[in-house]
Amino acid sequence: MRFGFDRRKACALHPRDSLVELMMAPTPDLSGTLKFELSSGTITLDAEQRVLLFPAELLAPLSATEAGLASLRSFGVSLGAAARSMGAASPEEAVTSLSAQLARAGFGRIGLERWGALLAVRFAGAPDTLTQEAQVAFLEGLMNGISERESALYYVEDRFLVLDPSVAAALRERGARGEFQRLSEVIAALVQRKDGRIS
Amino acid sequence: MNVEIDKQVEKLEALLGRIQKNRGLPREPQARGLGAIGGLGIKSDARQAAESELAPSASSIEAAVQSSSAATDVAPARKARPPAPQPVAPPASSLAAEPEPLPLTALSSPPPPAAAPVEQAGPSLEAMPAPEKLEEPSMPEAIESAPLEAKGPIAISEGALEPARPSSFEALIEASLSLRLRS
Repeated sequence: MRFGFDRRKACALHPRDSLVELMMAPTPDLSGTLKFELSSGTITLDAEQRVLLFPAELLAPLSATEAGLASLRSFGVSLGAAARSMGAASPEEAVTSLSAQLARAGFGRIGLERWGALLAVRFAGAPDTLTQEAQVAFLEGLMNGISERESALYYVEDRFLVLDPSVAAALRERGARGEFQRLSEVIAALVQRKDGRIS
Repeated sequence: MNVEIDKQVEKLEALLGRIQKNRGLPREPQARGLGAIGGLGIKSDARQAAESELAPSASSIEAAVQSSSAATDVAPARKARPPAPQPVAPPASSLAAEPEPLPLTALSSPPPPAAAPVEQAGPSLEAMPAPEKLEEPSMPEAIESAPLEAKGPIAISEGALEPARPSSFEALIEASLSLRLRS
């Protein structure tokens, strides 16, 4: 538990807003995931789904259009649903399953942070062509797929905050005006329904 | 001439002895008195001769004293004896008079240096004891508290300050989605 705020490392602003970082616990076994059929010139994932291998630069057009963002969100939903099928009862299991799905797709790795009641997603190793907006769309789909709940992400200080869509939209609107540029400001502005404070 | 003087001295000596006897004082030896008188510068060679001749003859001295007492009035000497000291009582006026108030300067003035507290900064003038008399400083004894025992209905467990951790990932998502912006 840490007190205060430091940009270099995740810290809690209040004892009740303590940080709990969840990382992937075991290393998933990915052997045999992809199967190359040289005779037919196809690649299958888990012997069921045909997939393509192409350079990450081809993702750039997807990040520039609404259709592309919608495609990335759909792809995230599919990965999230696959992670849920792997097991996501506990937070640790959810992180492990999500990381396994991301690793198989080559989209990097994921981690979760809990700031009190606020859940934040850390995303690392993503393709360079995947813009921040595309990352938000992709991860929103990922979280919706694993939780089967409609959520939206708000990006601030290398974190994607899992919020209600209306809250995230309000934060984006005020963020466009220069507000909520720091995680501490967002946490200070958030209240919980029950006792009026993040707990 | 010296012989006459010596005789007069002896008479006076005898008279002095009687006076002292009447007063109750121990009579000094004759030789001592003569010596004392001689110490005053009256002693002479003739007197020394008289001492050697006259001192042993106490009867002659007593006779001389008797004769001189008749010629010399000793009564005034007795009357001149100072009266017994009487207790001196302060005058009534002084008792009745109230003490004069002390001046304010006396009340507010600092005490004299002699009345200053003994504890003063600076080196002490007392002599240090001999090195062999110094006691070896003993090691301070450790004061340890009795072992603490946690009793009572309140139990503090480790990590009590941390918020309750959601047991499921679904609850974690639900809690995060329940957050609202402060109005």
